[in-house]
Amino acid sequence: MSSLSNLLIPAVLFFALGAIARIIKSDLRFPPDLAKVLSIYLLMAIGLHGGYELAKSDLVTAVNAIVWALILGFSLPILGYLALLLTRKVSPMDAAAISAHYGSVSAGTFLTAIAFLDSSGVEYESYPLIMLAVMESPAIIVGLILAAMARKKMAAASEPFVANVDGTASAYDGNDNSSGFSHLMRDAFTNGSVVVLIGSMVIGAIAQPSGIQKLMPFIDEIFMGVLCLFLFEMGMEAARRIKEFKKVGMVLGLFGIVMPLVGGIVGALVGHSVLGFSVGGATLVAVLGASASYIAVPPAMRLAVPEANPSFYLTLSLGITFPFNVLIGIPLYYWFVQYLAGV
Amino acid sequence: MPNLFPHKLVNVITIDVLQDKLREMFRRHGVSGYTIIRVRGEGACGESAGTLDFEASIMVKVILPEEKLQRLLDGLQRQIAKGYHLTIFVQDVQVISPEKFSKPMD
Repeated sequence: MSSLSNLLIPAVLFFALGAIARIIKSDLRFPPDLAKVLSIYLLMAIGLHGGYELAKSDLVTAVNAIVWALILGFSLPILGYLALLLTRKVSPMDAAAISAHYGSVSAGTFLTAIAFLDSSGVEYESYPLIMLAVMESPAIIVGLILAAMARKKMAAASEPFVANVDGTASAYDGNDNSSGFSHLMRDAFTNGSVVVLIGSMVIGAIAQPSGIQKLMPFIDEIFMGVLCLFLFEMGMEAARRIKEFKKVGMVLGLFGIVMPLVGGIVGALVGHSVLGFSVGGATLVAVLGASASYIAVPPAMRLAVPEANPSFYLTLSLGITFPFNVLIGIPLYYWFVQYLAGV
Repeated sequence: MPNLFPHKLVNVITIDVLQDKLREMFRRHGVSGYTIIRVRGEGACGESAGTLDFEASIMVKVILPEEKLQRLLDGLQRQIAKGYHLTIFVQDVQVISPEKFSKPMD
């Protein structure tokens, strides 16, 4: 499988077109909120589809997949955090915020991987879809805990900065609980994309099959076209980050490529060796391990870890890791899983 | 000469995700109401094009009597001390019904 075939998927080509449009300073602009509309559609369609398939699947495997999604979601950000601290290029706050992005997942990358598998005619299980839903939140929680620990340490080392006992930044105004820990935990689990995805999966699982069949033109036939539009815009967003590369620097930039590779290998091993998925299914788990969030986690970190610099985590996840995964990572993880499976 | 009463208009430009926090703060300070506008621009945090959710910037406008101003500004200052980026400026305005701005929100 040459990586060229991934590049020639329409969705990926549109991603490139978006990037080029931005680079040549085209006046092309998508209407505000379009990306949001498209991502709600994509999550809803994939959720309905997956829920419909999952209703027919094996409960033990599904529970197993959820447990491993949690393990990945909690452990990958800790790994990323330690690696970032070792680089000595960022503050602990920045490290906490960045690693939260890498532990969480990118639905855009996941969907691109599905487009890749579809176009290569590779079958895949629907379990990785539950893992996608499960893996959105744990990394946010780990990121918050890491940031709270770092904040506490900084507060202990004197500073005019006063932190709460639990380390949240809300110490100044007593009854201001909008950044309180429990509040943020709730936010992590009631996050819009989690609600759309899990809600649609439940609807897909319990709705009358004939009803779902009627929805197929909406959730199936136009799906790849919407994905093209979405990636078109994301290509523009990713290229907008290019001018920030200098601020991020070599070492951090390298992290944006090495971390997905490590996450991809771990994910491939979990998908293939632990969960026993097919090549297609294990590739999707690898993509989950490799991808970094750029929709759900940034607002959470902006709110909860204001000390971290958004241009670090946004440039890394959206400007470096996302294009890397879309263009190179996905075929690479697919190749690695094939190698594991001895195909 | 119309009957006008001097008040203060506080403008806050910040990120969308701070909305709930600010709303909570206004409530605590007995503010009578506020207006939020979505805005675009460029500044210390780089360009805010507002195409993606997490980058959306907002401008919050609050009119209040001068005696409530300092407390609110202190509260906003504390958010800045925590690391949030807020651009704040205050204008003198004149209102025709001052009683409207002394009633706290429900």
